[in-house]
Formats: sequence, structure tokens, C-alpha cells
Amino acid sequence: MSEVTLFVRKASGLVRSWSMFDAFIYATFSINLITLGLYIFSQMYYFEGDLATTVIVAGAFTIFEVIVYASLISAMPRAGGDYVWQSRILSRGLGFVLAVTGWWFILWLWVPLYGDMLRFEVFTPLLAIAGAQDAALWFTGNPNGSMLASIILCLLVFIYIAVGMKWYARLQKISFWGGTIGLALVFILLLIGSQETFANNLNEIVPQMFGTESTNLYAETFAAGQEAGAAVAPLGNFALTAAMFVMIPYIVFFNLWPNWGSTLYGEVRGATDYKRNFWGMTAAVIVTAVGALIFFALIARSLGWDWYNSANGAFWNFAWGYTDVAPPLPFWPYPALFATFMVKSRFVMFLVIILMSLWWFGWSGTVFLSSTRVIFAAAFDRMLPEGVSYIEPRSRTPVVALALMVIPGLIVAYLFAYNIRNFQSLTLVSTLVIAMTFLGTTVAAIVLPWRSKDVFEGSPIAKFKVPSWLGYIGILAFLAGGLYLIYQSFSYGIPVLTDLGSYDTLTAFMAIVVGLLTLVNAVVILWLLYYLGKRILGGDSMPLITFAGLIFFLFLDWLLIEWFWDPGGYYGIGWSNTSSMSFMIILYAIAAAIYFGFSAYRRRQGIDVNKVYQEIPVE
Amino acid sequence: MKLFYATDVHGSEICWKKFISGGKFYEVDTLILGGDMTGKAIVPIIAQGNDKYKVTLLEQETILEGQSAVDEMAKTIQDRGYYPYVTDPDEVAEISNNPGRSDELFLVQVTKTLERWMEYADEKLAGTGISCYVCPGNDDVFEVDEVIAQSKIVQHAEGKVVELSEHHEMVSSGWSNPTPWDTHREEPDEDLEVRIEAIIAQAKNPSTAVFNLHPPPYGSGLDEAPELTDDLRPTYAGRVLKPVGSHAVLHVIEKYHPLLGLHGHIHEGKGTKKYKPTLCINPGSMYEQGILHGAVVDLKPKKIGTYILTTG
Repeated sequence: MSEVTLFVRKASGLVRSWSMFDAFIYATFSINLITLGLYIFSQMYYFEGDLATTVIVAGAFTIFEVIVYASLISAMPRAGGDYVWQSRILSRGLGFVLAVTGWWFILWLWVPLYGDMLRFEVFTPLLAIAGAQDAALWFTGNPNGSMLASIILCLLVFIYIAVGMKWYARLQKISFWGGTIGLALVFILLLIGSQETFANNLNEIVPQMFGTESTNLYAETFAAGQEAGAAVAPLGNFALTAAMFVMIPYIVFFNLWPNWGSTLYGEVRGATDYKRNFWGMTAAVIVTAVGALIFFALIARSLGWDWYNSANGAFWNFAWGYTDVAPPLPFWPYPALFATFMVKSRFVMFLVIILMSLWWFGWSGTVFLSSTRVIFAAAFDRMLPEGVSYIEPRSRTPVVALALMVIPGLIVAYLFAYNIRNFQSLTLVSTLVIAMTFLGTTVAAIVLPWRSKDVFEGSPIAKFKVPSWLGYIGILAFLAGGLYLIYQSFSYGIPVLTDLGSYDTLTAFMAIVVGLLTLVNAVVILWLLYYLGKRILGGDSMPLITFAGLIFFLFLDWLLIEWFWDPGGYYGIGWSNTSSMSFMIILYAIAAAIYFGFSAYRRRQGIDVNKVYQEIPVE
Repeated sequence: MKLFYATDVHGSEICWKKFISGGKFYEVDTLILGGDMTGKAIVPIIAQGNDKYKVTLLEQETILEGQSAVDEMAKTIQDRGYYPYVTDPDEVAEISNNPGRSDELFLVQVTKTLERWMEYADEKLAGTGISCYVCPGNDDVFEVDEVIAQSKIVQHAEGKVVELSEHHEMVSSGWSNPTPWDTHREEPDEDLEVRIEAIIAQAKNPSTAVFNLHPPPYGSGLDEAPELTDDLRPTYAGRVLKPVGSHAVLHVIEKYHPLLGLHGHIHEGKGTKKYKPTLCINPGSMYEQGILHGAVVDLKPKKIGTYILTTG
């Protein structure tokens, strides 16, 4: 008989542990290989590094993210996520601004991105297979197709929220199994096929399905891609090269999200539940990365790695307006569709694409589900009008909160679809803004054991500490990494800032903004060094959450520096893209305006909102 | 008048102290604690000989050396809402092997803890002019009523109508609709409605009253708890919520339109809901982290002035 360590009485709320597999499914959908993964891989045709190594290295860093979030969930479960963690541990204003931008406003930009994946992976291939050639081409090639896909996404999410989380969770589970069968079929098709079969069938099937006239699409696509600058290295070069590292800020669009359900998982009551959260998310990171590597290997074997990347280059070069010459393939290079070309049966094609579509449908609800919670949390904190938490009684739908997501989301979708002010170049902004939010939470996690000592000491993670020697190494590594990042950011920024006269006023202004952010960043790094150095060198042991936080902080900080300064011009969302910078500044300005505006308004009403998160001093 | 309301502290020592200190901190004249004051578990601190003790908190085993380490651990356990109990392996075996023995132990721990809490409140609130009302909830054994009644300052509110100010009365009950755990103060909604109606009948003016009823109104959004399987396992990793509030509470709020509904019971259900003109509040609970969720409400004679939900 095991030793008794706890006596429990009859009381409500005493439940058993939830299934780790359910957490794994949500995390797997959040770092969705088929939607996010294939979409962003396709845009990386111009990088010269090895994609497989990039997936592995970026995935390794997200394990530290998983530790940070699993730990925070354990210490402060069901608290409301980043908003409450930051508000409670750091400051209310910072928590508010970073949470509403990262979990609410920036999701507006994700609307057209989800819509893009819907039209590329679902509508166009299915319509083409079904013989609706014009409709298939319209969805991919016409801005109205992009807009309609975004509208359909919003309608779907409205339905998910109206029918409730239970039905969505069921749909996700069905989608997971259906999607997995679809993916297995894709792998089998790629495995049994050959490059020769594929090239022949491509040349035969695409003219029938899409009405193209060329009979040598395979070769023409390759040539168009080379012309477009497709340059991805051959698979299998696992060296940690500089060319590989510059790909990481791109690929995190796909795998930075294992924590997406962190505010939704069940309450953590012990170390076992911490491990459930950790393994649910970690398994998703590992399985997804392994899935990507298998996909790459099969693409290389049966489609041709260079050809696949050339097809991507040809498609995006035209889509982004770098050339007026339309690509030979008038649709997005979807590897699952290519896999179905190994057979000529329309039924098999349709079946496989339908099953693969489930990866999109199971994932689509993630766009707004967490956002409505942040909106509610802000309303309960009196930082938004009461009305935003109104729930329509018949459908039990938070119609106002949804409107606050959907209406701006559709406006941004309009800007994106019609590429107004070069909005299609903003794809990675969707990741940057959320990474900023994660950075704030990571700082909160690093200092949690000292700033919220009682919360930490009374949590299941209190005993998770690294050995002293590793703690010292952690501090030294953070010292080296932090100073390197300060040096790197200054070395990127100084040449730009000393040459402001050569830019137009708006661009120069954006460079100054990024320069100021660089200074703030240096101060944060130095403060963390001082704060932790004093404690660790003073004899405190280093908690695992702090250790993991330091590594993840360096990773996120490096990403942000690369995105904002972008000396190689790889990402296109930094200081020199005034549309991107203006969009971000507007989002943060709205958040700050709401924060300061409502704080002042509530003060006039006699409400001291500063007391919302202040700890009550015990006499 | 201005009140501070918190609920579901479930034995957390630090949350009780914060609740009592909340009077001065939030500058209110009335403190109200909703139901479920008592903890759910006893954590044995087991003597191992040579002044060493073994304790397993949150599935993490720790060996303590010396009395000061035991005291420190006992405080951590208390702040988390559990009852520390210093014992030895033989007694642990004896408690484990004798049905009913752990219930006796619980009763002793609950009573001792509440007596200490009442003393703390009496000491801290004496001379402040702050009123304090407590109403046990469905998880509280009936013996707690007697302990509360012994306090000089804390007033036991269950089943009563008390006058909060010249304009506002408060109707209180900690009873709930049935739960999967068959707790101490629960009954079918039909019976619960009869119970609540009988209390409301004592009120002079229910429309300006505060209804301090432990379970939230059914379907209010303040009553959303994780859906459970038959063997009490949360479905879909706890992501699926379902309404578990009381129809009886919903009926009386819709019938009498009080100014304010104060609820708890569902720790995850933090929020507010307007049934015009009634404002219903469930501040939620994070007692295990020693964080006191609450609500500060300013009541005007015939309407709600201002309010905030707090995380203190």
C-alpha cells in the first residue's frame, strides 16, 4: 500500500486529473504543421539555410517556453494567463498593454492569415478537384477570394463560440484523427510515388484541373522559381550556420505557440498536473517537429526539394508583386495536393484534401477563443465598459466581445486582401506582437520566485530548482547572452541612426522609435542581470522557472532585435517598413489609450483601479 | 455604504487575514465573506525520528529538520488552505485504517482554525467600526456555525436578514443546489427556493437589498465550471465549461430585483452579470495561491454606485 500523504474530506471541487492527451491535441493544433507550418515554409524559399535544422533548433528553444508557461500555470492556474501574470508580478499597466495587444488586437491580423490558409488549402484544391475551375482560381488569384475566406472564417468562429467550447473540442478531436489519417495518406502517397511520376502527372493533371496551357509545368515552375531567387539549401546539412539562424525568426510563425491553450487547461493541483501540462505541450512540439522532418524528406524524395522551393518562389514572387509574370502553377504549392497527383483518381484526391482540411477546421477556432477571455478579463477589471461582457441570452454568445474581434479583423482583412499600404508584407507582425507579450510574461516568470514569493513557495513548482553549478552557468550565460544582444542591437542600430538624413521623415521617425526600444531593452537586460545576480550570487538557488525563463528571454529578445532592425532585409517588418511600424504603433497606442483613459475615467467615478491588483497588506 | 465581499477561502489562513485587513485597505465599512470557509485536506507532517519530519505537499516530498522548518511548512500549508497535522507513522496508519477517524480529525482542525480566525478578527476589527458578516457555505460542516457565533465582532449571517445600513438589508444563505460531491449544505433547487423565499420574507424591502446567496444564478456565466466525466475527471483538459448554478437563485433574483447579488461557489466563474437592475458578482477564488479575490461595492440608497473586482 502506498504511503498516505494527504487526508481529504467530502468537499466540492475535488476532481481527478484530466487527460494529458487532450492537452496534447490542443497544443498540436496550435503549432499546426499543416496550416501554419506549410504556409510559412512556402514563404521561406529565399533563405539559404537548412529548413530541417531550423525546425529542430527553433523547436528546442520552445521547450524552454513550455517550461515557463507550464510553471506559471502551476503557480497561478486559471488566473487569466499573461494578463494576470504580468499584472500581478510586474505591473498592471504593462500587463494590460501587452495582453490586449498580444491576445486581442493582433488577432485582427491573423484573420486574413487564417483566411489565406483556408483558401489555399481548402477552397482552391477542393473546388479544382470537383471541377469548379473558375471558382478555384478566383479564390487564390482574386483579392475578393481572400476577403471572402476571411468572412467565412469569422462566421465559423461565431458558430464555434455560439455552440460552445464542448462542440469545438469535439470537432477538434475528430479533426485530429481525421487530419492524422489524411496526413498518413499524404505520406504514403509521397512514399509510393516518384519524382518522375509526379512530374508527368503534374503536367497532365494541372491543365485539366486549372486550365493551364503549358504541358511542361514541372520544368517551367522550376525555372520560374530559380528566377524568383529560390535558394533553400539541400536537406540534411545539419550544421548550425549563420544562414540557418536567420531563418529562425521566420519559422517561429509556426512553432511559437505550444502555450496557446495555457489559459484554458485545467487547474494544477500537484506536480503530476505540472508534468501533464509540460508533456502535453512538449509532446506537441516534438511530434510536430518530427512530422515536419518526415514531410521535408518525402517532399525531397518525391517532388524534389529544389522544385518545391522553386514552386514556392514562383508563387510568392508574383503574389507579393515582385514580378508581373504569373507563375506556371496558378495555385499555392500545396504539398498535400501534390501528393494526390501521384494517383489520378479524383475521388482519392478529394478524400485526401478533405481529410487534410480538418487541420484547418480543428484549428480555426483558436483565432478568437482566447481573445474573448482577455476582453472579459479587462471588462471585469473595469478597463472596458461593462457592456463588452454582454452575453446574448438565446445563443449564449458574447456578441459585443465577438464584434470587437470580428469588425476590426475584417477591416484588417480588407487592407490585407487588397494589399492597401503594402499590408501583405505584415505577415510576421502577427508573430512579433505576440512575442512581445510572451517576453513580458517571461520576465514575470524569471522574477516570480522573489517578487511573488508566497505564491511561488506554495506552488507545486517550488521544489523544481537547478543545481547550484547550473544556476551559476545560467547567470553567466545570461550575462554573456544579454551583453551580446545589447552589443548586437546597438551595432545594428547605430549605423541606421547616424544616417537618418538619408531617409524620409516617417522612416527616420520609425528608426528613432526602434532606437528607443533598443535602449529600453538594454535597461531591462541590465536590470535582470542586477536583480538575479544579487540573489543567485547571494546564495539563493535558481528555480527552474527562472532558469528556463532566462534562456527563453534571450531567444525572444534576439528574435525581436532581428525583426526590428533586420539588417539583412529578411523579414520586412522592421523600422524600414513604415506600414508595419505604423500598424504596431497604432495597436500599442490604442491599448495605452484605453488603459490611461479608463484609469482616469474610473478615478473620476471614485474607483481606484490601482487597487485591483494590489496585494492586501496583512497586519 | 461601501462593502468588501470575498468568498470561498477554503481554509487559507492568509486569505482570511487579507479579508479582515481588506476593510482598512479598501476603506469600506462592511466586510462580507461568502461561504466555504473550511479547507478540504489535512497534510500530515510525519515524524521520522531525530527531529526530522516528512511532508508531501502538492506531491512534492520534503524532509524537514527541526521545529522552525516544521513551523514554516505549517504556515505554507495553512496559507494554501490545508490543515497541517504533526503526527507519526503509527497514527497515520491508524487514521487511514479506521473509517470516520479522519472526519473526527477534520472537525478538530476546522474548529481550531476557525477559533483562531475569530480571535484574529476580533482583535483586528475591534474599534474600527467595520462590520463583518460571515455565512458558511455548502462545503462547511454545521459545527462551524457555533464557532462563528462565539465571535464578538464577526456576525453569523446564515438564514437571516441583517441591516447593512438604513437603506440596505442583506439576505444570506450558504446553501447550494446539488453538487457531485454530496456536500453538507446542499439540496434540490425546489427546496433551496423555499429556504431562500423564507429568508426574503423577513426583509422589509427586497428591492434595495443585497442577496448574499452562495451559488450563482443558473446560466449567468458566473456559474461556469469545468465539465466532469462520471468519475469526476475534467473533460477536454478542463477546457469545456458548463453552467452549474442554481435555478432557485436565478428565480429569486428575477422575482425581487435586489440591488446586488453576491455569489461564489464556482471558483472559475469570476465576473459580473447584470439582471437589470440587479448586479450579480462572483469574484472567483484563488485561495490555493493565497490570493484573495474580492469585490468592493459602493451602494447608494437605491442603486449601485461603483464597484471593482479585486485580486488582493
